[in-house]
Amino acid sequence: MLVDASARFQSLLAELRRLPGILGAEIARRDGILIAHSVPKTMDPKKIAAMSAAIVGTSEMAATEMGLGSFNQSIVDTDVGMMMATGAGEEAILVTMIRNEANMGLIHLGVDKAVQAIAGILQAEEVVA
Amino acid sequence: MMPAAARAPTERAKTGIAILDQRLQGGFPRGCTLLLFSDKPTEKRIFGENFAVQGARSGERSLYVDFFRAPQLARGELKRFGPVDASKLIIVDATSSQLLLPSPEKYHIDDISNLDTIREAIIAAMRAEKPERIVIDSMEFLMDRFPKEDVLRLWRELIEAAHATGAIICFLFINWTLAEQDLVQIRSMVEFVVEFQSSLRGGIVRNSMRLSQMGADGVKTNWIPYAFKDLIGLTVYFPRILVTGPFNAGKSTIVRALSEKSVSIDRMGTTVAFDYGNVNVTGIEAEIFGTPGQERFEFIFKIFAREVSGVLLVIDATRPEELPRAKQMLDLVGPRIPYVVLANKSDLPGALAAMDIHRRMDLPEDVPVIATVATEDRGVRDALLILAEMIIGVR
Amino acid sequence: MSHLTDIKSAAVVRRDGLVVTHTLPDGVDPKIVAAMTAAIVGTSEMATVQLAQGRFVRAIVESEEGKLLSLGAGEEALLVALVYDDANLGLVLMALERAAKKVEKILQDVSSG
Repeated sequence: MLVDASARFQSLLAELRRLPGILGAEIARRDGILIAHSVPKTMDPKKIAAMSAAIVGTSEMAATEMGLGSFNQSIVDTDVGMMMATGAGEEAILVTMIRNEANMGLIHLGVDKAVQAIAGILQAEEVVA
Repeated sequence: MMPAAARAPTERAKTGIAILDQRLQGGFPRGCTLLLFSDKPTEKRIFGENFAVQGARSGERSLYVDFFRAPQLARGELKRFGPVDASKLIIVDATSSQLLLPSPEKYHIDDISNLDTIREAIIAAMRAEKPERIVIDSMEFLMDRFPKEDVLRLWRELIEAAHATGAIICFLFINWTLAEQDLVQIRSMVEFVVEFQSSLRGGIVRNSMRLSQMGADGVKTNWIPYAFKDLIGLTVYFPRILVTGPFNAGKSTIVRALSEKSVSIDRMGTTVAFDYGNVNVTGIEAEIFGTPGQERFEFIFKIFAREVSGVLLVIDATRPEELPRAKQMLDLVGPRIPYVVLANKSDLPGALAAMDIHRRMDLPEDVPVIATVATEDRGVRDALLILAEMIIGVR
Repeated sequence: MSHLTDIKSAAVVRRDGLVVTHTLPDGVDPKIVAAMTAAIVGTSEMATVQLAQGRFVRAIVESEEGKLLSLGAGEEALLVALVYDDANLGLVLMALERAAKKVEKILQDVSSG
């Protein structure tokens, strides 16, 4: 079952990467452990997993502390692009690296779809386990 | 029990800063002389005010000679320390006459250009009121206006007059012009010197004080960071105590146990960013930060392991295999930062004794290992107090 | 910056998580906001290095009812601002950039003066 999930994550990430402007994507556990990745060799996906978990965890706490309602996503803006991290179910987060010129509308659609799929896969895992 | 009418003071004069009073065996001894000193403008007045207010709070009388502020202003500022019996705070007013105004205070200096009238007014107030504490704010006012030798003579006369009634006299002084030999002379006239310094980093001011008792065996503290809390007074303040250690040692539990309120950024049972809490115990205020334990989160140290006053290194006493990891984490904080080791979960079967852990970690002799049970809040406060004493230099 | 009505509240915090100054509302603990901002920006800056693309510009927390924007204000400090959803983000970002530069200048002047 786990092998199955891993394959499904990889194909999901591959599909996401086909969207123009997406440089890489990965799925991390909310406690910072890497689940699956499809990122260029120049990036260390494990480090990004831990950092994204810290960013999302802190951002969620910040949203609560400041009365901003439920958390949607964290964005790290750089001068050439951005890193977007969003929750994918209770246990995971999806991290996407995006170039500045990308079509954000399309990307949001792709990310939303991926997030649902990830949450679904993980829930199925739990039911079986 | 003291009868209510008796005004016999306690043997020592408290500062109200618990950890300092402990080190002084209850407070300053009666009849001693204090010098509150800096060579730049700093916040030392607040220590003088705190000392006067503490006296009033203990039922003593405090005489405050203020050369700078109108008595109405001085009394207003003293109110920030909280409620106190105003009749126990006697002010010698040195400003109203300069403004050609009548003084609202019983004791006032009518001619500020004459050192003799200054001396007479202060000593008359001392003799009439017999205060247990006297604060002179501040000697540089006189040093700026009168010949140095005359001021030094007055200085000695005031000390004599104070000692004659068994009072503690406290002089504030900023040195602008005196040479080292004069400072040596002044220091030889006093029993305790409290120095003050202020630093500014990234927009935040840090105040600290250091106490030295004259004499080879005298009490000497490190620089003690302090803050002023409205309606309370001076407290020792540690801007950052770091709680760190291997994964699952109990760090978050310890932050929670120590804090009035705390937050934890944790997921799936582990801290993923940090824990944060505000501690307030026996005159010590501190902000505590807990770090995650896993290696993948070590980047957090680059953000938070700065301006660390001290470290509580938490280990799981039932897992000696993690001791090396614990030592490694100390390196992430940096050298020469005081730390205490907490042998947590010491109630569980198989928990190593503090001594064993000390030996196995090959710790320097002066590093304490304290057994704790964080889930039951046992030993945790003690560990923090011991760390505080190490930081202040009272151990 | 407060004359821009879109920015509901803001804080200047030190990069190691201590409060410098703030206009946060009463129910919010500025010390916790300072620590969180330091964590978010500090980690985001390190993540930017990991991504090996460009320099860090800002971090945004997007929520149902508003956004938290944080960015560097010189070597020592960070600026964080709270905006609600109907805000004109472009204007706000520009105002924040300007404010951050001012904060940087003030801190430089203060420490050298």
